[in-house]
Amino acid sequence: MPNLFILVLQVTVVLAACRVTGMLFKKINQPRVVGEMFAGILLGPSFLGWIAPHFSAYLFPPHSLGFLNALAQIGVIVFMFLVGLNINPKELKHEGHAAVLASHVSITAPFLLAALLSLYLYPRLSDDSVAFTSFALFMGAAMSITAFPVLARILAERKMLHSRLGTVAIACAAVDDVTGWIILAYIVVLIRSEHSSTSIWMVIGGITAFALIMVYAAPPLLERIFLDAYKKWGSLSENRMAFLMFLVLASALCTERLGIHLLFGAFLLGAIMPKEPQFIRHLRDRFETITVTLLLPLFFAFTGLRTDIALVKGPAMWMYCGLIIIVATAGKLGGSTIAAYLSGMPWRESAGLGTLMNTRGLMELVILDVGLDIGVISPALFSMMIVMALVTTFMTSPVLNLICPAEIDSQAKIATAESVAVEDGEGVVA
Amino acid sequence: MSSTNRKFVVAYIVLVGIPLLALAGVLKAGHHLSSPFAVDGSWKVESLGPPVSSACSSFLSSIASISVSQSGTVLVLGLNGKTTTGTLDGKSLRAQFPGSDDAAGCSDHSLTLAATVDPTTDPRSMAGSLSFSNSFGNCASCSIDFRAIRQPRPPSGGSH
Repeated sequence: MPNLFILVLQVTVVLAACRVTGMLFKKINQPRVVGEMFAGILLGPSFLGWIAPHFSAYLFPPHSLGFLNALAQIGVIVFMFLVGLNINPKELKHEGHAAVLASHVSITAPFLLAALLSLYLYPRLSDDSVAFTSFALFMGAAMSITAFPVLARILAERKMLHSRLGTVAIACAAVDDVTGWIILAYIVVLIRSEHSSTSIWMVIGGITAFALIMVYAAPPLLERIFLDAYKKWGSLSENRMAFLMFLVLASALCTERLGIHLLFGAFLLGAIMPKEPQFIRHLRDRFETITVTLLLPLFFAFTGLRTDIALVKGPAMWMYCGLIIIVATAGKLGGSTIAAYLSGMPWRESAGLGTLMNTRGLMELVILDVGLDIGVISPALFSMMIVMALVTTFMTSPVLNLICPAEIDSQAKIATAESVAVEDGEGVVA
Repeated sequence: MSSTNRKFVVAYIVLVGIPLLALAGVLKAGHHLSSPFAVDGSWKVESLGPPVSSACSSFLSSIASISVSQSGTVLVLGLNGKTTTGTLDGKSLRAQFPGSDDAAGCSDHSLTLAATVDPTTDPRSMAGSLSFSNSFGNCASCSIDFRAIRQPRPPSGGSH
C-alpha cells in the first residue's frame, strides 16, 4: 500500500517546484517546459539529494517511487496520445522539396553522427549485455528526435506557425518523430526478444497486424463515434470522453502486450484520430489540463530522480557529455540547415529551421526514459543525454532570436492554407 | 526532369542516400567492438570465507547482497545502505566505501571490495575479498573472502 501522506506530499512539492521554475524560465523567454524539466533535475539526487540528503530521502524514499512513476506514466501515455493527435498525415503528403529533404536529412545526419560517436562511446559507457547495433540505433533515434509540441509552441509564440519556416518545421518535426518512434519500437522489440521465448517474427507479425487494423479499419469507426458526435453536439459527452480514454489505454496495453511499449499504442491512436481542427482543439482542451498541470510534472520529477549528474564525474565523463551535445547539435541543426539551404531556402531561414529542429524537450526525456528502462543506455549516459536535451532545448529561443529577429520572421511569413491541429500552439504542452 | 528537380535528386542522394550507406557501414564496423563485462544488478553473496575473530567480521559476514549500477567501466555499488563508486578493469572489480561504520565499531575505516568477475558462468559470478582498512584506534583490520552470484534482472516493461 502506498504511504498516502508521502505520495500527496511528493505531488504537492513537485507541482510547486515545476510551477515556480516554469514561471522563472518564462521570465527569461524560455518555454515553461524547459523550466519544468529543470525542476525535475533539481528535485533529484543531482541537487536536492546533494544539498539536503535527509530531506530528499524522506520525501522520495525508494519504496514510494513506484507509485509516483505509475502516475507519471499515465501522464506520459496521455501526452503521447496528444502528440499523435497533433500529427496530421495529410500535411506530410503535401511536403515541398525543402521539407522532404530537410526532414530526411534531419534524421539521417544525426543518425550517422550518433553512430560514429557510438563507436567511441560504446566501449566506454556501455557493457556487453547491449549489442552495438541496439546502442548505436538508440543513440541515433535519441539524437534525431524533435520536440514537436515545443517547436509548435515556439512558433506560435513568435506568430510564425503559418510562415514558410513554420510549416516546413512542423512537417519536418512530424516526420522526425514518427520515424524516431518507429526506430525506437524496433530497438525495443530487438532487445525484449532477446529475453523472450516468443519469436521476433511473431512479435513483428503481431505489431504489423495491429498497425494495419489501426491505420485502415479504425479511422472510419473513430470518425463515426467521435467526430460525428462532435459535429452534431459541438462537444463530446462524458461517456464518449471516457470511451476515448478507454481506447487510449487499451491501445497502449495492446502495444505493450505485443512487445513494444505502452507509449506506441497511445501515439498511434492519436495519429489516426480524425484531424478536423476544431475537433482536435476540443479534445486537446479536455485532455490537457490535468495532464499538463498534474501528471507531466510528476514525469519530470521521476526523470529527475533517475538523473544523477554526479555520475558525470571527471574530465573524461564531461568530455563525453560535451561530445554528445556537439554531435547532437551538429547533426540536427547543421544537417537541417544545410538541407534547407540546398532546397532553396535563404540562409537565415535555413538556420532558423535547423535551430527549431534541434529542440528536443520532453520527447527526448520520454525516449531516454524508455532507453534506460530497457537497459540500452547506462545511468551515466542517461544523465549526459538529459543534459544534452536541456542544453539543446534551452538554446533554441536565444539562437532563434539571433538568427531570425522579428523583422526576418515577418519577411518569411507567407499566407498558407489553414492547417493543423497545432494551429494556435498555445494549448500544446511540452 | 527540370533543373530544380535534378538538383533535388542529387542533393537527396548526397545528403540522405550516402549517409544511409555510411550508417550501414558504421553499424557493421561496430560489431567488432567489445565493451566491458556487464556486472550491473543485484549480486547475492553466496558464500563467505571462514569467520575472523575480530569486531569487523560480524559486520562483514552480515553482508547478504551487493547492488551494482554500471556505466561502462564506472560502477556505483551499494552495500548495506552505503553507496560508492568503483571501477571495472577487465575482469577486476574494485571499490572503496569511505567513512565510518558504527555497526562494525570501526569508525573512520574504509571498506574495500576487490573481486574478479567470471564472465563464463551463467549467471555471472564474482569472487574476491571484503576488507576493512588497516586499523588504528579500537578496531583491527580484517578481511573476508566472498563469492557472489548475479541475480537475473526483472523483465523491463512499459510500467518500468
